[in-house]
This record gives sequence, C-alpha cells and structure tokens, in this order.
Amino acid sequence: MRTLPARLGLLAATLAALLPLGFAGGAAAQSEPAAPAVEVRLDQDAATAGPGERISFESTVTNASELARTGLVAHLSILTTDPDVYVDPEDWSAQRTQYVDELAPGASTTLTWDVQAVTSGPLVLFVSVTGEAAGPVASSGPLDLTVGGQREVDSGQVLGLVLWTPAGVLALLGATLVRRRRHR
Amino acid sequence: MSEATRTRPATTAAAESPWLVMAEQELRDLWLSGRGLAVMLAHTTLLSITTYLIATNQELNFLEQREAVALTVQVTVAVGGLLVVLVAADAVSGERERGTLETLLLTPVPRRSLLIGKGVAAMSLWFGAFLLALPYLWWIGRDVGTFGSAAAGTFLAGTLLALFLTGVGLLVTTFSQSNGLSLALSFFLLLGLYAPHQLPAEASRGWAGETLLKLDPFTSALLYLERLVINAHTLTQDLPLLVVPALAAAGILTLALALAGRLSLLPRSG
Repeated sequence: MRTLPARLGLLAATLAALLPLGFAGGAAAQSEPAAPAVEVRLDQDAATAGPGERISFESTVTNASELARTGLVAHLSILTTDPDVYVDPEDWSAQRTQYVDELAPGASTTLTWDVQAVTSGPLVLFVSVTGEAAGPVASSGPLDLTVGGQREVDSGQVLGLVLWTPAGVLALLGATLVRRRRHR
Repeated sequence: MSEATRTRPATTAAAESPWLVMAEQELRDLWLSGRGLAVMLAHTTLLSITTYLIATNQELNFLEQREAVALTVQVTVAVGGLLVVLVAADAVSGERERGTLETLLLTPVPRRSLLIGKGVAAMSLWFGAFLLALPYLWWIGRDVGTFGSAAAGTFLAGTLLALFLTGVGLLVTTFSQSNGLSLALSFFLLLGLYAPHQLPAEASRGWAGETLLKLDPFTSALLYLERLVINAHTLTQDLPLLVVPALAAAGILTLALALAGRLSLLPRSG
C-alpha cells in the first residue's frame, strides 16, 4: 500500500502529464504566438508640432508571409507618457482605422495618417495591424511627438471685462427705458 | 411694430426710398423700445459666463488659446443667428397676430419695402451682437494675435449667415398663419442647419455625409472660421467655403422678396 507522500507524488505526476494536453498546452500556445505575418514601419520616429498644428506621416505595411493576406486592419494609437496630460485620440484624428483589402506575399502598401496636435505634452504614436480574425498583432516602432508652446488664457483682469460689458449694456437699457417713459 | 412708433412720422427718410422709411421705423421700434438692448444684455451675459469659465475653470482652461477664441466666435455666430431668425420670423406673422398688419398694409409702402425694412431691423441685431463680442475676442486672443483675423472672419461669415437666416425668417413669417408656427418653424430650421456641424467626424464620411456638409451653409461658414482661427489660415485661403453661405443667402433673400407681393392679412388666401 502506498504511503500518503507516495500518493501525492503519483497525483502530481499524473497532473503534470495531463496539463500539457489541457490548460498548460493552451498557455504554451498563447505564450508562443505565431510569428506576425506582416511588418509595419513608420517613415519617421520623431516629430515636433505646435498646438493646433497638423502633421502627417506614413506607415508601410509589408506582407512578410508566403500567403496573400486579405482583410488587414491598421489602427493608429495615440498616448502620452505624462500622467497629467489627457489625450482623447478622437480629438487628434478623425480617421484612426484603415483597411487593406489584399496584400500579396512580399508586397507592401503605404497608409497615410493625418493628426492634429490638440494639447501639449510628450506623445507616442504607433500603428498596429491585425487580421479580420484578430490574429497576431504587429506594431510599428513609436513616433515620438513633442507638442509644445500651448498658450492658455490668462485669467488676469477677466472680472473687469465680464462684469463691465453687461453692466454697460444694462445701463444703456435703463437709460432707454427711462427716456421712453418720459416721452409717453 | 408697435402702435406708438407707427404713428410717428418718418421725417428724415420720408423723401427717400420707402424701404428706408420702413427700416428707420423698425430700427426705432426695436432699439428704442428696449427690446434690442434686452437681448444684447442676454448676449453679453452669455459671453461673460463663457469667457469667465474659459479663463478660470480648470475643466475649460485646458483649451489652447486659439481654440478659446474659436469657441467665442462660434457662440457669437450662433447667438447672433438665433436673434436674427427670431426677429425675422416675427416680422409679418407677429403683426398679423397683433392685428396691426392691416394698418401696415394700408400705408403707401410697397410690400417688398416692408419686408426689406423688417429685414434690416433683424440684421441690426447681428451687427449689435458682433460689436459686443469684439471686447471678448480681443481679450481672449490678445496674446496670440488672432483678434484681427477672427474679428474680420466673424464679420464676413456671420453676416452671410445672418442674411441667410433673415431670408429664412421672412419667408416663413410671410406665409405663417400664426406667430407661434413661424417662430417654431424658423427655430427648428436653424437647429437643423446647425446640426450637421455638430455631427461626429465619422458621420461625415461617404458621399452623402460629405455632400450634406458641403451644402449646409452653417457647416461651411463654421469650418471657414475654425480654419481661420485655430489653424491660422489667412482670410482668403478658405474663401471657397463661403460660396455656399453666400449663394444660400442670395437665393433665399431673392425668393423672400419675390414672394413679398403675396403678403396678405390671411396667408391662406394669399
């Protein structure tokens, strides 16, 4: 009769044998994804812009596999490394997703991306490409974008403007009504 | 036009064109009665609130200074347009409802001149709204040198839109049985014309979306102003964008004045 440690050892050995067929096998498959069938490269790796300025760059998508690829989807990501800066990619670019209908083996296509700098800060832009069935994702290298020189409205003396202008109109209105009453 | 002002003889312009007589009377009625100044007070109060928030509120002050100027320009054009369309929409149906249209039609003034005079009065509200917005535009944009171009562009694009809305209001009011119908219809037309500019960018893709945006005078004019203020374009760089507002203004005003002869006490019989 086997002792308890011996039974536990047998159980562990059984589990070890079974895991590759199930959970461990799946994990192994996920940790070693298939090599990306496409490559993405940007035409520049750094840029500077002022607030409101528009910049344009290109990404080249190459089919590195031996099979023709269809239904590729390219997406532009915009993020900042400064936690105090808020980035809403929708404000930066109205078109952040583009589609590639067909790409022959070894062929390349160029996608143009237009971005308008909205807020100041250090930003990173990159393009990711995947297939329709959400297979492996290939990403480009980063485009480091520095947006500087943002000018915000100076709040000094604002009270004078926002109070005196309506007050002037109010005074004019009062004078008009008094004059009208006197003429009746 | 009120009874009090209608009985006043138009001394200075009497010998001139009939539309000048009407315009003088309508301007007096609008501004000396205090109605025009009351809406200008509301306009400056709104601009003051917007400007104060832009300058002091943390949520709004993230705006880049040029965007803050663009926001003020948009508020000015929108409020000015709203005032113009509401006064123009009241021009005939208001007289009809108050029972003063008959007296007005009995005067020896051509009906087209009546409408022109009322249109001039409506347009004066836009000019008032524009003038009162100038201090705000200067204050917000004083550090980025946008005041001159923003003021000139706002005047140009805003005047075209105001002319267009005057035509819309006059056309609707001429054929409206009630003042409420005229005001509601004009207001919803204004909202409908303003809406395409507020659509998300995705909605403007495709031939239908692009055509809609190109044909909408509001979208074209506001896009012109955005490029002028935010992208620092020159006044003439995007002038083609103002072709649609100009054509729309000319077309609707011509139509309104061409149909002025059908102005009558009861629109259904006209």
